[in-house]
Amino acid sequence: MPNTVLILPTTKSLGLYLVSGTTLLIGGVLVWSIWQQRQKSKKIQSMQNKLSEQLDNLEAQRNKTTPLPTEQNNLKEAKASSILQTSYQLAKNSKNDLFEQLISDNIALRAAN
Amino acid sequence: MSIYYIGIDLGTSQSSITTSTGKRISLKTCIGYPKDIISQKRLGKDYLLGDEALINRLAVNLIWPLAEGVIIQDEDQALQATQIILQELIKSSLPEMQEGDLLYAAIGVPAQASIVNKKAIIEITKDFIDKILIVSEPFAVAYSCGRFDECLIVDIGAGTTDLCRMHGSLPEKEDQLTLKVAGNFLDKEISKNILAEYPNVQLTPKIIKEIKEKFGFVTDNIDPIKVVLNTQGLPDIYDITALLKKACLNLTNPVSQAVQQLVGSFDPDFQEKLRNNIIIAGGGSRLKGIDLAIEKNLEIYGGGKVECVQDAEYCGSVGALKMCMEMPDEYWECI
Repeated sequence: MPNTVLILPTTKSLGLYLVSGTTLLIGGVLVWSIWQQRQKSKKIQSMQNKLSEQLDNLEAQRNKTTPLPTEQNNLKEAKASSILQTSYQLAKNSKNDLFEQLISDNIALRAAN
Repeated sequence: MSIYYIGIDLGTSQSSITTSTGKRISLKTCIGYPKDIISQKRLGKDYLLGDEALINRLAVNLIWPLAEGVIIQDEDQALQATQIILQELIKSSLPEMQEGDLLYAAIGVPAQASIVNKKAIIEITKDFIDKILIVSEPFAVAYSCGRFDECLIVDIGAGTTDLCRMHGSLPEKEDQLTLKVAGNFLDKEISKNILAEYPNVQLTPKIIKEIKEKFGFVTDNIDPIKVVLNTQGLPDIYDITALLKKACLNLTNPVSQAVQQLVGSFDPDFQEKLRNNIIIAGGGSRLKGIDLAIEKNLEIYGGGKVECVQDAEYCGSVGALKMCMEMPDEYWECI
């Protein structure tokens, strides 16, 4: 086969150069973004692990400090509910005081000459 | 046997009833007896009540049994008229009541009604009310609003304006004040002012009442008020804006002074709180801008906050009913 010289026009060679360059660039960017993604997910995973570890610790601590239903604690609860009851009773009593006064006024009115 | 509870606001001009069955009725506190045989035949009744009596006022002898919030004393006719009005109010609001059922009532009377007057109410109702409580009208208003703490109730009725200081207990004599400057006084002022400006116009109590209820105001900015009045039978339009405002201010100024009197004589630690909790009730609370006018008058004393009740007509009777229904049975047994 006789030696042939492939002569491409300048524009064509420039075009080829540009296409291959762009392909390389896109490929590079893709590889970089995949690597970045993997790094991110690794980071998130490690943070999640840390968080669940902390939660476990907290739960363990809470279990350790939960008071046993002792007599003292029962007393505290009873006191809290009695405070609630007292304020209700107080409102009721003050109204009853009012009624008492009203009734005695009315009785006095009937007795007055 | 059932127990029915009622709250009654016995007013000079208007009375209202609220029942435990959820009914409420309001009636003008007047009764009309036919003038002669002819009117009796035409009307077909021994007496007419409220608006019916007012509509037929030319054919009846009209009686307003209450003056300044209390039954006119030494007049059997007034006592009998009050009895009929109360009886009819109860009958029409509790038609389901049977013989043997019990009726427990609280009746609101002016803050400073006399013992004689309160006893008169007990006496005339003993045949149709089983247990009766007499309560001060402003206290019933306070009860209706659920306000027993530091507040001042101003109940502007037709015959009297009742002021009552509330401080967490039953108000005593020094906590209450009754002024004779009220709705009827305002009627006279409006009439006097119109006649001074337009001497020949024909006015009746009904026309004045309508003007007061529709246009009464004490605000600064309001559209001109023009009414049609007759002069020797000829209708004409009259501008009464300034006259009406002047008359209404003659009501609000003494009320503001009375408010300050009650505030000023109160425990100094609570005076500010009292001045900032003023509640206006009664028909007078419908005057446009009365809350702002009293607030303005209080500015020289350090200011105050005034509000009007939502339901001026039934506020007192609702409070009286609430009191009846919340009172334990053992208390009722005592009277």
